[in-house]
Amino acid sequence: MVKYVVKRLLYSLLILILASMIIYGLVRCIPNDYIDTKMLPLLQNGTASQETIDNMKKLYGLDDNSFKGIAKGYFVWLGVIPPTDSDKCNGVLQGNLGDSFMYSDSVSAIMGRSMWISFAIAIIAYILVYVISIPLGIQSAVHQYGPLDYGVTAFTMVGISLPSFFLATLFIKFFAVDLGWFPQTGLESGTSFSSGFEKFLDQVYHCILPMLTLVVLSVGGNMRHTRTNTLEVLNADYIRTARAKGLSENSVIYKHVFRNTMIPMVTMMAGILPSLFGGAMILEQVFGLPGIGQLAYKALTVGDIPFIMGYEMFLAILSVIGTLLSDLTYALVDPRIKLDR
Amino acid sequence: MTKENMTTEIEETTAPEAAQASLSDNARVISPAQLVLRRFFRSKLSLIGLSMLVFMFVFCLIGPFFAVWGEAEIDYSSITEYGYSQVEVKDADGNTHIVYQMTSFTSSINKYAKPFTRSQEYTQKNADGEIITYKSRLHIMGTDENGRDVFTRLMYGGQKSILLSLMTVALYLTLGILLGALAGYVGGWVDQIIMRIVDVINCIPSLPIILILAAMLEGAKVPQEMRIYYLMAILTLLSWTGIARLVRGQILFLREQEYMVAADALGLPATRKIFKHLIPNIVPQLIVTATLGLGSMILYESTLSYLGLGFPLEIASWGRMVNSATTFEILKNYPHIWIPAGICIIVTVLGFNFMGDGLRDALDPKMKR
Repeated sequence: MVKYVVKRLLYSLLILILASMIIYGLVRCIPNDYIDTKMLPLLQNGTASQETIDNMKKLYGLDDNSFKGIAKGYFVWLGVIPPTDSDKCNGVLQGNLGDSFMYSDSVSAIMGRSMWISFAIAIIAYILVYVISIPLGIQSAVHQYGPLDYGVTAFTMVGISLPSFFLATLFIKFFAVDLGWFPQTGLESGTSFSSGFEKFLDQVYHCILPMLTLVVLSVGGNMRHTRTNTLEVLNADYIRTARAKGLSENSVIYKHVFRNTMIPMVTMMAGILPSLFGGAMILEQVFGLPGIGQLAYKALTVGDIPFIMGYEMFLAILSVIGTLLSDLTYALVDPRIKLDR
Repeated sequence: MTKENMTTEIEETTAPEAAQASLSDNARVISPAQLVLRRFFRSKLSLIGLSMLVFMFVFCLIGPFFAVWGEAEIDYSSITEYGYSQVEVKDADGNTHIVYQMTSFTSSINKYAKPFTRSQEYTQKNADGEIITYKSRLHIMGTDENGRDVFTRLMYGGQKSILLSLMTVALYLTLGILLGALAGYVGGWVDQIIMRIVDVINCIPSLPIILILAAMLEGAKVPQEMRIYYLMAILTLLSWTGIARLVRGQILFLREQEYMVAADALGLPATRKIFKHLIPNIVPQLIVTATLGLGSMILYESTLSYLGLGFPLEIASWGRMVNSATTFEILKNYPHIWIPAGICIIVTVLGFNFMGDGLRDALDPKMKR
């Protein structure tokens, strides 16, 4: 078991390093880098000269766009070789993700701050998703080809076919603009609050619509998984045995079927790790929530390399951990599985 | 089963020729393909999906030939707006008259037209300086904020979306099958390298990477008509891994089957073994994956164009039409500009998903219904 985990972790490390190389290379290849975009107006009205820009690029480590320059930039970011202005390595390996260009703070601090908004929305949404989708999925499998099953299947399909930006816009249109039940965008109303608790309530109020959107978007897929798993379990031999023993239908479904259905569902829960912490980029963009997804989107559009790298690697690490965790939980909940490769 | 019963059964099966003849008269031979088709058409959901797709294909691929408006054609017929003010004028006799004085005159385009309204006849100089009269035409879904016909743009947007996803899926299917078959069949270090690439691509979060690549297209000043090909290449490079995994897994499984041992014994060349004996056995799964993949490609494309990447501005796309709702005025007062585009996306993706699901059930030999 320990050997398996260590082997997997080492292997993941290799994959992560390869992935980070590719991402860094790609980000550096964006034709208009951060300095170009930012300094263009200043250059045009004459307040900045080309020389200043070149100096700034040097400062940000963006001056050399040859293959060698990019490779050097990557290793400085990684912390293998020191940056030009100092002789100490200060990179990812030293636990430093660097400073963001546009937010002028350290990347890890910004991510640490903005992550929790995304996390709060995602965790509540996912709890709701599981609460809704598991009972419905099981019921629709038990009554296969019944009216409930057709209803659930159709709803599931619509759910997984919905573009997130369209659903979000529709919700804003109907619930916020037409009915006026919820605020349209943002995390806070402009007013000042007497207590911290009121401010918190206001933030919760702003998060309801995004949460609802997330639930509608992900409930379908989960329901489908539950239904498929339940159908598979229902056809298993031990269920026939349970019925042959003369157990009541309720006891068959809720004891034997339900528990076995949960095996793949539990492992899937570990797999949602990236979406829990990584934020929903498009939803946050549409709802104007200052979560990690929106910050990352903005960073992507201006070419804020340290933030993009930090965010991408954060997601990649989460997905690697998620897969590992789901494999481990699989072995944990299903004694038939043995991890000894 | 009693002994009596059994004997009668045996008697029946070893019956005289007359009984056998009647059996073959009654039984119909059904090929596997017919069986699949029959199962497919029995399911209501797959029929709904099929009809949705047929409708969208006709609308988007044949529709543009009958469109009365051009894709980026602006309706210049218009609402002329006059600005005026009241002025008191004294005439020679000393009487005062109230006169409306026209202070401004703007001929704007026919924007935000309501659905089912007609444009007025208007004349316009074209690029060569000739004056052309444009007849009055119908706006089935009104016009957008730039005075372009929404209905026509829906057709053109869908056309690009559907063609892009068809081509992309075809490309990544080919790439995935080739690399997956290679990895599964050859094994060893080839397998190692290919599967490590698959792992790396799977580990990279796809949406941010697509955004970076699309931003590169934006900045690299790629000619507009070439954009679609670059976009296709990007999506292909990020999507082939699923297919490769599927094909590799299946080939590893099928390689151990008896008929492959027979193929080995016959000394068939590797290409023949792969493409004649292995791939056809994976085709059912591939069809299902590809159908579902078409739907997700449409979603990807529309998300990209919603974010303003992908196709250039004047080219219609569903995603960008939904994006016009980011203007509050349009969001609140003109749902006819953005809601139809969203519905088109849903209907198309839903069609592909229903079809894919129906095909999966129909192609599954374990299914009895």
